Amino acid sequence: MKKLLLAALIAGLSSTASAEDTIKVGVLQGFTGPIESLTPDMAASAEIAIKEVNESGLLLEGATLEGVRADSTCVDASAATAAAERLVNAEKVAAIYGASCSGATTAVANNVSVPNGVVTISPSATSPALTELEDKGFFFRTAPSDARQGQVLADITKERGIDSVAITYTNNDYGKGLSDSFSTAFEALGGEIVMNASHEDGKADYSAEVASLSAAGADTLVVLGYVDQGGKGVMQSALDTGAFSQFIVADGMVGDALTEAMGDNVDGTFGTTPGGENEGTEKWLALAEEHGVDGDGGPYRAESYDAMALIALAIQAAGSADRAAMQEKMLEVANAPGEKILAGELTKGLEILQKGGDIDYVGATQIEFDDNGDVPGSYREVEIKDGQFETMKLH
Amino acid sequence: MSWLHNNTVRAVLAFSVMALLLFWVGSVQSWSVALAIINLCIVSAIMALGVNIQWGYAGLFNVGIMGFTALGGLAAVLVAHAPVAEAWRVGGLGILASLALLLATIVLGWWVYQRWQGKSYLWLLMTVVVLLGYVLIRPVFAPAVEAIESVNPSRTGFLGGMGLPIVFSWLVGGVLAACAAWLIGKVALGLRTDYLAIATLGISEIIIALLRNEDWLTRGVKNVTGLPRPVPYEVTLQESAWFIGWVERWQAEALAGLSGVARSEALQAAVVDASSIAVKLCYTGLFSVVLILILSLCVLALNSPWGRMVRAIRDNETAAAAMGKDIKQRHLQIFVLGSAVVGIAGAMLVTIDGQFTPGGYNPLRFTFLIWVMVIVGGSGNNLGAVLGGFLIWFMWVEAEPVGFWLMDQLTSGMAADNALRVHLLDSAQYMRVMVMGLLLLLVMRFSPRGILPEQHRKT
Repeated sequence: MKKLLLAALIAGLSSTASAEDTIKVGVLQGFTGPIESLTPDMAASAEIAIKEVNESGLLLEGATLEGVRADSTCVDASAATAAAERLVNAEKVAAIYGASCSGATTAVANNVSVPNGVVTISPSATSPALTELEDKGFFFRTAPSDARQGQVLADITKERGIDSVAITYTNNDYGKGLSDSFSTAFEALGGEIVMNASHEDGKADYSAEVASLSAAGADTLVVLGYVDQGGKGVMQSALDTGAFSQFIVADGMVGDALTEAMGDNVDGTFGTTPGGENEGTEKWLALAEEHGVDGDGGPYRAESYDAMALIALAIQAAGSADRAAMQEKMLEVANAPGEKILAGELTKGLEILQKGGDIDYVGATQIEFDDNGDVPGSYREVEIKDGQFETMKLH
Repeated sequence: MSWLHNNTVRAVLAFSVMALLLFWVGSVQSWSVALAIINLCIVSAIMALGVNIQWGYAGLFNVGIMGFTALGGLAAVLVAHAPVAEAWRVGGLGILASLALLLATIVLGWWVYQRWQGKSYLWLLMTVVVLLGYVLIRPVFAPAVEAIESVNPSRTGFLGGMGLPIVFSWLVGGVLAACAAWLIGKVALGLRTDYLAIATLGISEIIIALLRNEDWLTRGVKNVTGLPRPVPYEVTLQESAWFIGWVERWQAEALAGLSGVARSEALQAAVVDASSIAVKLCYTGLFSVVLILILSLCVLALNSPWGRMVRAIRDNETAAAAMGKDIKQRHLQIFVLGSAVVGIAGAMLVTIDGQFTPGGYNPLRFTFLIWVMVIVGGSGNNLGAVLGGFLIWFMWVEAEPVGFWLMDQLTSGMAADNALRVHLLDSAQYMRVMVMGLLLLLVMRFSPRGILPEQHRKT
């Protein structure tokens, strides 16, 4: 029986060899682990781009893209490396869309994609450390670095006439990185930070954290955490005790779950979240709805679509799925000059490239890569009014 | 099927199946993938050996493996990362002074303890010493930490390491874990079974919390990436003439029919493949040496009079104590030895990952998975622990593609957009955890003492 199964397995796995005109792309996301509730929709968003390209039939004269899923687990660098290794050396993918969390992404880039020369585009790794990765031009990301968000949030805070704040951040690379960049920027603008303390996610009660934060003497609390985790707990506890009168939040806290839980008790709370509301965003939302995905119901969905779209366009521009050739074309298709291509216009982009033209992929999130493969990122300034998040302006 | 109960036959059979599985991955998927799995298998096997020393030999129920793994990882950072000169300049003196003060407090406490031992007011004196130490250390330590953490926080913000070759960290990791184990053992080993489990579980969480929050030492949740390797980088190999020449000779047959651009492209691809395999082979070589060394020491120890004594203590403490064995001392020794082996593996793990991510340590992956390895392999049997390490890590990595293939085959009769088929294919990733549970259940049902059970000498 064992032998039979083994034989069947060998036969099966060797028979899945792909057709010549199928180009495989890795979909490396944390399908299990701490962000497993976010990744299925992210992957689905990326697969919308795959579908769009395949339906156009224009990619390299009739080739089709095929997404190969693999699990980066978010936290286990070894498992993420193993999964990437499989994508690159066994599945022979042309490029990788992923990974999701900053730690796993760094491991994958350092141990697999850069040594093997495979373009890797993360839709969600926001750690500032990735900017300085020695990636030989193979690593890109469509989500802006947290360093930028800290700066924007500090500017807005100062603009609104707030000079003294206490900060609480979730104790991981996201929270810590954001808190560092916010406090550096805020102090450079002449603001005062009375206290900067971390909180751990998943606790039942945050009154101790809030007590020490409020003892520091500021009226304003900057919450850099997650809306379904400690961030909300801290805010709830601060509201219950009346310790703070004003809250400032970042992208991890901007979600309907917050306003649903707090109602209009937190009116006047303001913050930042990635994404501009331009033509591309509207097109993306319509496109996502068409495919049964809630385009702004969670983070990094538009970024996922853009990452996959860029891979397809770079392949088309290179004229082959060759890893090195498409890497050279990546900046060309993503950046100006050229015809602007929005989300949902991949057919147009592929057509122009087929004729040898030049495009500037703008996509759903206004993509423009700098020399480090980072996007500058646009941010919305949001404020809670009558228990709802409203966009105030763009930064 | 009585031959199946012969331990040698079982071991040969089990390891042959394991080798076949790895060979299958090598030939069907790629040799690079197979080697990557083997390297992690070796690290897992060493970890499992460490747990086996504690649980298999002596019956110590330590579920704080994660903490010792992480301490090994810390050693890799402290040994291999380049020192951050600026941080040492602004805060190094303060840290050293606080360390000296801490030592002085401990020595003072020790002296007070010895001098006034047995007196009713001893606790009062000790409290005074501890408070004094705290009051003295705090004003030196806090500004030093603040100064260090504000040195370019987005890139460094910590003291860095010693800049030595990372291979030394394997030894240092073992020593660090051993020291921690000695301290913990002194406190917790008086507890039996489930109480010891609870204590070690809690202590390992404390260790992780320390590593996550002491940024001046570990960079905390901001992670330390880009640790230097003990083996060459793929990119260096790809650019060196001797390596390209070697690949050219090795692949001469495949390249013979080609010329011009096609030839140089094929050569380029072969060089990239070969560099990836060469680097992994270097790791395999280094790791194998450590595994063989530790495994032989374990086998020798278990078969020595010391090994028999330890098992006697495990099987009947009262009887062993009556025979004059010092149970407490032996338990402490075993706890320290096992933890040291886990620490070595922890340092090796960070070495191959090239980064230290304190936020990534979770009990499921770094404590309970290792326990599954020992239980499935066969606790009390060194070869069993090694087999468990290999088999479980292999399953952990390969459950995903195999699960996907299985779902694909099971639903191949359905339409491509059938809801059930889509759902099953989308959730193939979760097969990993299910396979672990299934494997554990099957082994427990058909071979309750593990695939390679403990050997009893018949004399």
